Amino acid sequence: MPKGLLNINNQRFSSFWWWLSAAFIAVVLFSPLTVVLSSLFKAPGEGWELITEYLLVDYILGTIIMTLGVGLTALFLGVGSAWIITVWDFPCKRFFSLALMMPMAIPTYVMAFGYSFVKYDIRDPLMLFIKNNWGAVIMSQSNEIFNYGLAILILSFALYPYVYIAARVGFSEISGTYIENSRLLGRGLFRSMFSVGLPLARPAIVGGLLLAVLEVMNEYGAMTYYGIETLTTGIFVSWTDLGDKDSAVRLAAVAMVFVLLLIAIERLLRGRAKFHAHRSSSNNLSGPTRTNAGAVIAFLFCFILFTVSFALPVINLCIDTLHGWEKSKLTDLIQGPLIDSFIVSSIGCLGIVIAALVISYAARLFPTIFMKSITKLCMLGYAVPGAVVAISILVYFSGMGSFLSEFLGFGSLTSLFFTLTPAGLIIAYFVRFMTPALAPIEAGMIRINASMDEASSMLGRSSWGSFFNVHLPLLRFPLFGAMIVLFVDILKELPLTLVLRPPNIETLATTSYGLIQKEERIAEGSFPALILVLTGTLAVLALHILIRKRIVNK
Amino acid sequence: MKTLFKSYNSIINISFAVFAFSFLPANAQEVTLYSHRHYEADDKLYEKFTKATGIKVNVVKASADALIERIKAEGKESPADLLIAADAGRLVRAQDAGILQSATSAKLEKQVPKNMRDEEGHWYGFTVRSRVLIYSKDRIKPSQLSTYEDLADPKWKGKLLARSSSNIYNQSLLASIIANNGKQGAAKWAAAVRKNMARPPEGSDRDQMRAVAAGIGDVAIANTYYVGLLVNSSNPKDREVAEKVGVFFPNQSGRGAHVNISGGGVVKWSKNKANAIKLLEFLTGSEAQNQFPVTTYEFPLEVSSTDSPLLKSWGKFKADSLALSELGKLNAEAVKVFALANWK
Repeated sequence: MPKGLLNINNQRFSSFWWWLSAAFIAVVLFSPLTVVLSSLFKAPGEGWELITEYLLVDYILGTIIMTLGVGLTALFLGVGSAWIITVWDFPCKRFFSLALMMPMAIPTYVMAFGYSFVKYDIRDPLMLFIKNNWGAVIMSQSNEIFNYGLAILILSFALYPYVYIAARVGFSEISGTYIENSRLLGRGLFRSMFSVGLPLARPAIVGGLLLAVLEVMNEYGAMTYYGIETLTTGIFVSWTDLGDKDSAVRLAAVAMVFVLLLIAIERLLRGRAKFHAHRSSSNNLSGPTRTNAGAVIAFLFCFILFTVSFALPVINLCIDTLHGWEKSKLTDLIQGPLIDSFIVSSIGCLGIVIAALVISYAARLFPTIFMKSITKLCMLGYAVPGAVVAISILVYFSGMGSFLSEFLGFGSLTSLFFTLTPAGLIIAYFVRFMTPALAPIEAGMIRINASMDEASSMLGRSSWGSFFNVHLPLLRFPLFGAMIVLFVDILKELPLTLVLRPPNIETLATTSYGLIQKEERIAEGSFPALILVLTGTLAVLALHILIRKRIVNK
Repeated sequence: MKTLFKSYNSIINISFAVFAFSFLPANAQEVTLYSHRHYEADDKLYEKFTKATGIKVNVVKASADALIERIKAEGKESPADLLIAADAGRLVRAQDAGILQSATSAKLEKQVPKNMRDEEGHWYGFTVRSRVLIYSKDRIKPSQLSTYEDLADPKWKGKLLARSSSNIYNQSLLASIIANNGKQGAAKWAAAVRKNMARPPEGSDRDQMRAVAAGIGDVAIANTYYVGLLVNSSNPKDREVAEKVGVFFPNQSGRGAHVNISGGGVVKWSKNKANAIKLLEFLTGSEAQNQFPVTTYEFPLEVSSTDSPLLKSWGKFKADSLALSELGKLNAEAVKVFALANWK
């Protein structure tokens, strides 16, 4: 037998393992969600009629206003600041390039809380003024509009970093020659953003935007705080108020359809274009431009953005922490919530990234419709509110647990997963957070030129060999990037952790949420929240170093 | 190196502690709570309980609805011994879901008034909260206030404040109005009150009081203990709000002010039923009952028997004696009425 043929057989065999593992992961991640999807085919619960008749339109309207509002605002803030930092030279530029990522470390409910003073110190006096001059009806309406605006701003502050980071990475991939050519042809730096920067960095930016918009869809705390109704708040209304879990799950299915639509739009925006790397000779701009007026504008933009999205809420937290200093118990906090948070976040982010790698590499080896749909299925969990994922996982695994123990004599799976270990919780993180891992890794995979695979394979490397010697090294930046984003995401995660954690386990998020949101014991709750934000900020710092390295190393 | 060892040690500790306690035989002295109550003061009470009885208390805190689902899914493998909710409606829902069992003791029957527990002992209340009218001392005289029903009068147009109807306290209040005035009357009431509101419902009970203090509206519907939390807040602005508002117990010449409970029920598959009953007895006993008015500003089961100066300053009041199990039975009806009234 000629040697080449054997090689091909080997390759097929080793490739098959990728296919199999990807399919396995997809089954584990997707099957709990079938609990949600199957609701569409069941007869609706008794609350469904009430929902469709009186509530559904408001839910959908609220969802559209919020996703559109936050999406556009975050796009403006994220892309604008990323472009400024990429092409302009201005004072404190290096500081801002890092600092503008930091709001990512602030959970939305902490951000909303950090801005509670706007409600009481700005809005209420304003409303009083309106009431005294134009009456109660106008006040009531203005109040609602004000709340929408405020909620959009606050969520944008918390979520624009997703777009910013994606855009920075995207812009850093663009060969400096393109931008310089655009300028030579007489376009200013601002117009070059639209003609060169945005089109070339589009897949990355749209990916980041998708994450931000999905977060909005999932938001519960901030929405109820401002009295805004979305599909997610509706899910809770029908679940907890109407006591109609079936209708709640049905609404979740509607939300999933909404998200599938968003993902389809993302694909559409990405277009047919293939975005392979442009690794030409000149990578960086030969030197950022500096004009005095430009420097002032750039500085002000970044300074204001950093102040409102990070400095202000964190200073508020610090002040509150100092107020309650004598009541905080540092050692208790470190021994309990801090370590628990670290354990679940580390295990979660490592595992998820490995799974995402397997899936995206398998999708590259087998560019079939089947594989593509598997990738999409794995991303669905991000679209379903945390609490619904939690219930689906509980229902699914306890069902499987009783099946196993009844027919195969297995021990108690349920208590192993939910009482003895946080295994169930970590699987839930997998279901929920596959998207933030898959999105950058997929984007990274796309940027690796297909000829690399061909060359590697022609040189006799198996799929494993190619993976470890070619793809993994090229993917190390999106990989570490995804890990850090996941670490911060899991650190902040609330609904899954609240419902699925084993007894006596508290994370920084659950502790601060309980104290701040539930008890309004701000002084005591600010401390764990502050530690949460600082830990997240450290992770963001690591991400920043990574992005810098990437820009320098190229 | 030492710190490294320490953190390594604690990681091991945690993973093994979690494993270890499961291997202890069931008769090891412990009790596991699934609790909706987030109060830190509760943890201190549990510590006292452990000290007095040697029974270790394990806790999972999350919303009652999530915990009910979790117990349903876990079934007979559930580690939960006691489910604690902040509302009778949720306890009835848990009972209807078949995840609670009847648990009785002479002590519990003596300590918990009849209308504040389930007839068959599926659940027992251990604190009482009253949903009242909070008014602006500057603009409203108590003599202008009378009943919940009066809030439907057009004279309150643009002056009322209340939180979202998805809040269980509002649902239970409406359930009590359905119980007293029938569904038709309650529907008219909810629609009229919604029309009288100064702004669409938003925020917490405390936010309604803040809006009263700021002058957005004149009268808010809120639970009494939130006033206590504002009075004792570390934030001076909250204390200012508390200065500006008064507490009014409505319907005093009629059925009395609406009350509800925080309470707990023994889980159907509890492996430590005796311990769970002991904890309930402790929470309804005199030591804990004296604590609640001071730490969480809730009323004890005997609403008039408290030395708390704050609670006393609100004056004695007549509480609605409606059996609280009714609130649970009428909850679904109340939610529908709210939706029809556009009270979001």
